Amino acid sequence: MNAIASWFTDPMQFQFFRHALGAVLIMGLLCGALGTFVVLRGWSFFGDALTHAVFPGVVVAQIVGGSFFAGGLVAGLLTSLAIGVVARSRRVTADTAIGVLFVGAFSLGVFLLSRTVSYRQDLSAFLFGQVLGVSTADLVVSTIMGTLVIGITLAIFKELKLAAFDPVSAAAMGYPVFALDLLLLGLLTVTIVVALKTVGNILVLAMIVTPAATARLYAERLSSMMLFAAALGAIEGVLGLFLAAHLDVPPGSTIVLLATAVFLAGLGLSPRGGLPAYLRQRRASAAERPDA
Amino acid sequence: MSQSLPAVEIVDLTVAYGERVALRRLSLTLPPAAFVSVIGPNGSGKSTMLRAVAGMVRARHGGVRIFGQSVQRARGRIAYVPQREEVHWEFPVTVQEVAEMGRYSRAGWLRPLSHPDHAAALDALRQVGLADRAGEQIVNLSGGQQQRVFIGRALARQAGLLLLDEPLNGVDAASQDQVIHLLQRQVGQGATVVMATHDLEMAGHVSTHLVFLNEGRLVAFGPPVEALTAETLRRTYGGQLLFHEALVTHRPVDVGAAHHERHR
Ligand SMILES: Nc1ncnc2c1ncn2[C@@H]1O[C@H](COP(=O)(O)OP(=O)(O)OP(=O)(O)O)[C@@H](O)[C@H]1O
Ligand SMILES: [Mg+2]
Repeated sequence: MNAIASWFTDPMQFQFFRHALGAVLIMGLLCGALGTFVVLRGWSFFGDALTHAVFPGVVVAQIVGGSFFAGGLVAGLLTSLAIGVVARSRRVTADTAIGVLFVGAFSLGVFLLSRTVSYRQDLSAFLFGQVLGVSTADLVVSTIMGTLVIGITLAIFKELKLAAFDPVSAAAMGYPVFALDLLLLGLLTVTIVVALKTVGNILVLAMIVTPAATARLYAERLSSMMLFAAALGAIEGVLGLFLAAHLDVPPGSTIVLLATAVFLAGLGLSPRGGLPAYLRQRRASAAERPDA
Repeated sequence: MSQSLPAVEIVDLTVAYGERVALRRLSLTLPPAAFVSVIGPNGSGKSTMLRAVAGMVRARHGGVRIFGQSVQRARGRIAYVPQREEVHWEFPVTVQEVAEMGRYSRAGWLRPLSHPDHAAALDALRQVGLADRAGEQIVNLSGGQQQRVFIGRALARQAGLLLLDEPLNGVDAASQDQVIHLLQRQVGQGATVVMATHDLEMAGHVSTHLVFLNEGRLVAFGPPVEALTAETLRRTYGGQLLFHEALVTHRPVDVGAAHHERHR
């Protein structure tokens, strides 16, 4: 009992760990909540594009000594606008255009970063996150942005639901479907920028997609899926952080590994897709064939 | 007063997607309490006509008036049931939630639905015979039941004009009858139904008016007895539709009556 308690309390005596805990919690909640829309709308590719496109913005901010968040937001919002416009056109080349753009943007980020002195160290921080280096100011900004994202999402929840489920009827009812899509991409951008500090560029997409995909296996309503995904993201983030502290491994990848393991377990146990369904099916087909 | 106003008035309407003209100088007036079927080959502009009536595509020329008002102003009186492929059926929503969507614009932005909204949605589901499935996920329903839920959503919206894009597609014959029956009941209560369909036979039997389109042009418009001629079909389908021509020329009178009986 005492051992379990101290497993949780021991790392907590360090301020940097407490900061990391806060950052991971916000990251998990946000990624899970917004990831719900990403998973349901099949926007993983957009999410991937956004995470990469945010990169040069963050680098420029670093070089000119500006805010990490501001740099990422400007680059990300410009990109989400571009994605929105490109995705709207019915041309088959939309994917390609987005792909070309974001890989280019990412390379630009690497190029810019390579001109700085602390290239290697910074690059790894950008790519894999630096959750143990979260400052009080970072935490404050993350909390404000996180509250804003969740607040807006909840405020227009029913409209987002309608536009995602049945966009044509939403348009017929007079809802600005395109503007809602852009807004959602914008909220996703903010989420990505907040998460970047914690899990880094490479892993952020996993935190957006994986908890939501796990929740998708069980939820029957958008609201319950979102709650479940947010809770999963937060719990996986926190547990992953503790695990990483005790095992002395990088937190970002530990969190993502944990989330992936939970997803696989969830897939196996899911009433719809997993083992139970398989067993049900086998039993049913066995019953059909008396000779079996 | 609004009784005498036409439900839909399309005047010299031209709609284009970029270069491609989808409707050319279409003019039509649909009276209230009409059951209108829009017929034409693929790409003839059926969906575009419905979208234009719902105000989803901009007119390049001409315009649409609904119950004597602009589409913007009449929006609350229009309900739209999209083509099946345009809905994300796998989305995690319950039947009740879908019906409630008919109340969204009434509630307005930033406001949750009120108790009467929930009640209206459930009542609408009762009318389409699916109240007992209210808590189920929409994806678990059959195609015909899903269409009935969408009609329920239109009822919850209390719309006087129902626009349906191929509501009978992918729905088996028995369920088609149920859907048609529901729509006829709405027409009986004064609503106007405009439905795009490929089912010429069904349309001929159940509609008060037929609209024939070909390449965005109006080929014929009127009650089935007037509009449904071999000449119309030749001009709509380009003369390859021998089977349907046979359907017109050899149509025994009593078949129509029998079919109609089935939908009562
Ligand atoms: N969003 C769009 N962008 C560009 N062209 C379009 C768009 N929607 C329809 N079109 C074109 O407009 C024309 C009319 O299309 P519409 O969808 O109205 O036909 P339809 O009669 O509903 O066909 P179907 O029976 O296949 O549903 C077609 O040539 C189609 O290719
Ligand atoms: Mg169509």
